[in-house]
Amino acid sequence: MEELLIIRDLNKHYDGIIAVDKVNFTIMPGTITGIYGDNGAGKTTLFNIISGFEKADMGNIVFEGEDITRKSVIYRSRKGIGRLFQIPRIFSDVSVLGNLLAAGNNHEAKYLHNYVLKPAAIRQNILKDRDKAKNILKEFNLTSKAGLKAFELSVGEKRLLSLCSLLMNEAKLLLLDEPFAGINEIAALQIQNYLISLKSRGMTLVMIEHDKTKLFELADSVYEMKQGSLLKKTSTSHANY
Amino acid sequence: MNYVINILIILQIYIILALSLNLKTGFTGLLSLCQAAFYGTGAYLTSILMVDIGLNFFTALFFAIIINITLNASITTWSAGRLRNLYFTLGTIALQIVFFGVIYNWQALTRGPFGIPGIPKPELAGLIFNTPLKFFILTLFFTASAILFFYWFAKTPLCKLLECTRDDEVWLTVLGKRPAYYKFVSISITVVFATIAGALYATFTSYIDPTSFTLDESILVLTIILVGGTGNIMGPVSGALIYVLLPEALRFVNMPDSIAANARMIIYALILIFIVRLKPNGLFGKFEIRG
Ligand SMILES: Nc1ncnc2c1ncn2[C@@H]1O[C@H](COP(=O)(O)OP(=O)(O)OP(=O)(O)O)[C@@H](O)[C@H]1O
Ligand SMILES: [Mg+2]
Repeated sequence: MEELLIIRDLNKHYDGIIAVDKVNFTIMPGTITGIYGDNGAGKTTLFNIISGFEKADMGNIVFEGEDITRKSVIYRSRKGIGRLFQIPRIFSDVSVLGNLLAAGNNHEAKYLHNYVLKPAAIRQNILKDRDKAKNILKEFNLTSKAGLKAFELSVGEKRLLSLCSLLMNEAKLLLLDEPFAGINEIAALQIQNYLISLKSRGMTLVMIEHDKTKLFELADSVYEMKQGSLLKKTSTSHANY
Repeated sequence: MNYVINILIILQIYIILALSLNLKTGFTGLLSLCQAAFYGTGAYLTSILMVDIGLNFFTALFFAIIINITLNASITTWSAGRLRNLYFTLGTIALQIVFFGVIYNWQALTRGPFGIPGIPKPELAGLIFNTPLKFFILTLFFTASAILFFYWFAKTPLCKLLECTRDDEVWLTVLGKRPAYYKFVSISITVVFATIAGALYATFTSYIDPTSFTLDESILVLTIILVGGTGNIMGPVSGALIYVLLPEALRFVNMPDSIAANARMIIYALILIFIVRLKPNGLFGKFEIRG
């Protein structure tokens, strides 16, 4: 199988600090990759570079065989790179269902002139998107919250909502920055189960998480990030801890 | 009777202005103080095209809309891409002040402080809207169109995306959507309806000068939507109703005109303070008046 993501010699420094130091790794489709490391090790910076929020000083990012090193966040998103933030991002004054509809790829409805030129296509897509959104909400147990404003959700539910939004947007690669932070154990377990089911559906996940034990349980491969360097860990070395 | 009709015409012009600003500020979150510049550009362009070039009202309005979008909507969208929150608001104040400077000083085009007199009444297929009642019907047509348009638009997926732009631009880009486009759509629609309001105002009064399009006027339209409530249709309409009908209510309690004008501003300010205190969403609003 062909690699989904290839990172080559990625470097990034902020005046004086080396945030990402010659990072190399590849990600195969349908796998879960875990990254742990101390605060300030450069994990979030690595995600920022992969998703396009930061420019690397050096190195290449290849996604599905295409070099996307110099592409914008929007371009990468449309290619299928989805990203969750440490603090979940949502459209807070929009309903839960509205959040998903906005995330959808109803291409015609995004442009004003299409309301004059292609009203039929827009109507059709709205129905399709609603069905899709409702199915996703059902799968993630959010159906009863569909009508609430997103700001009314708990932190865990907000994180689920942003995860649902990425699915609605048909992301292929999910970059999850500490998906279990700030939520109770039950909610964390729930999210964990959802992530496993996403993998079984062929989704590819990369996850930053402080809890090593959890990572070795969940992930197919685990890396430690240390002062900008990425080191591959195996589960056997974990057994030695 | 004519007196009542004239008030209803002014009321409708404010309803259109408030609905228009509400899309940009309430739905898209772009707190703006340049509505009088949009409105004034519309009034001036329509008047100049009618008086100096002799175009028919509707043709003049059409070109005024195109020019106004090209000028004001693109400048405002550009600054919305670079300035955030209050800095954007300051940018709109700058636009408003520059606009006033231009119409006040570019005398060859605008006749500066003397204003443009003798603006003809609109005419459609031989029908001249030259009595208050006829003009009222014309205004009603535009107001009803505006209300219907905004009711319809508020339900479209595109309008949802404007609201998403307001709530979190970063998340919108992660989802592959371009915030700048939605800002441009929102600002352009605002400009279209502000131009209509300006064209109606100019042909209604037959005379315009720069004093009708000051920063004060922009602040006024903003307070109208804050009092009524932003982010829905009822809010701006009720805000305009309160603002325009308040002095008439004061007349009922036998307040002399000379005092009523000032009392209106004081009472309006008091209402604003009470609403901020007691009903932070405005009378019908979806969103809090907050930073
Ligand atoms: N925009 C920035 N400007 C300057 N320095 C930055 C910037 N972003 C990150 N850094 C620095 O780069 C280093 C890596 O930060 P990063 O946020 O990637 O760490 P992290 O591994 O995600 O940490 P945490 O576990 O606390 O989330 C830190 O030293 C941080 O201070
Ligand atoms: Mg981090």
